[in-house]
Amino acid sequence: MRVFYVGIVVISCLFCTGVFATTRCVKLSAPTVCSTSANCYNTSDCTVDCNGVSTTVVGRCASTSGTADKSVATNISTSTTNTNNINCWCALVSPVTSKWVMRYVYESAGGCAYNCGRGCRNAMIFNNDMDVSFRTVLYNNILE
Amino acid sequence: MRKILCFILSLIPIATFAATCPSGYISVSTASYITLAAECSSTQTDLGALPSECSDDSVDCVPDVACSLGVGQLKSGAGHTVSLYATKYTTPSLHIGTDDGTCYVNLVSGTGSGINVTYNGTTYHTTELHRCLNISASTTPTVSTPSNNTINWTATSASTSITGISHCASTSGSVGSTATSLTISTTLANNLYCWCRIIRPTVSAWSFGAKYSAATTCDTSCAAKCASLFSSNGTFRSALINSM
Repeated sequence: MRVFYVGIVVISCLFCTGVFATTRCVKLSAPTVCSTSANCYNTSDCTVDCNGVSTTVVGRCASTSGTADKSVATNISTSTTNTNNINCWCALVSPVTSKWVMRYVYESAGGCAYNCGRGCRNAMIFNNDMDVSFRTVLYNNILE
Repeated sequence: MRKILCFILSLIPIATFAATCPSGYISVSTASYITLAAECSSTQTDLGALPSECSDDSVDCVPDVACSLGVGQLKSGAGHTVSLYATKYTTPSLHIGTDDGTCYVNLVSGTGSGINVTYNGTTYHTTELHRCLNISASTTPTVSTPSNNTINWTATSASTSITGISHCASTSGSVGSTATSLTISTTLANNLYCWCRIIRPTVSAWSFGAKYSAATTCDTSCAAKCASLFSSNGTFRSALINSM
């Protein structure tokens, strides 16, 4: 019986030093339509207001291809031939950071450079199915 | 027998299950190198205060440390909000008794923007928990050399994993300068300037890396330049870390 009780003590102690993760709740939600007065052309960052939360997304033109409003990437690449950088990817940087989510394929690299930041902005401020889908994918791919 | 059972039961910790976030919030697990404390140490970067209760006023919150005994926060007539926690994080602390138990309010020395309290002749002020990041610009990090034409770069500083991104832009600068946003020229050849940013464990401002003679060279080399400067250049590193 003594061995039995010692065994219970040992097993219990295995749980004594457990580290439990802290959950942080960030006030973002895919159905929430954000707003901004900025046009976000020719820019890296675009800041919008999502129900009182200042939210910044980064747009980046890359040669990495994907499916609009669906593909997710941890890292994306540019081409040595810079005219191939026609794929616009977006990532959250504030109030949390996310992986890259594909937004749109442009006709030209110049068009992407001009419009990508705005494309990311549009994904946050419009309420079409594709925009809600984009936000759902974005918020499901937060970098912890 | 009874003494043995009491001893065994005293070793079993009270289960702390991660709280769920209310509707309208996304759940993010805190990274292991970010600690919660009433005050961050001088070698840590303070990522900001976190209230215990998710409310319309809060962008983020930590519900699994909140007092769950029916009292969420105290609000003074002057508009100060004091978070109540299930755990005692400071010594001394205020103990708020309810019919269901005790909650705790953090106290740190000196006067402050919270409610000021004098205890045993010493002045303290209430404070929320802060997220404290174990990273310092004075620590030389180790970096990985990214491949050509990638955008992300990575580093490790005192066991903290760092992820950064790079961008070639038409915005000029010098090492040590920072920006909140960059101009990306429609004329691709003008995007000669390499800028770098940390995005994980938290986001920094853009920090200037280098000017290239050609935009294509910038695209090829910028991420590697960010990693190299983060390791070798204290001015560049400080610009990044101090802007977190």
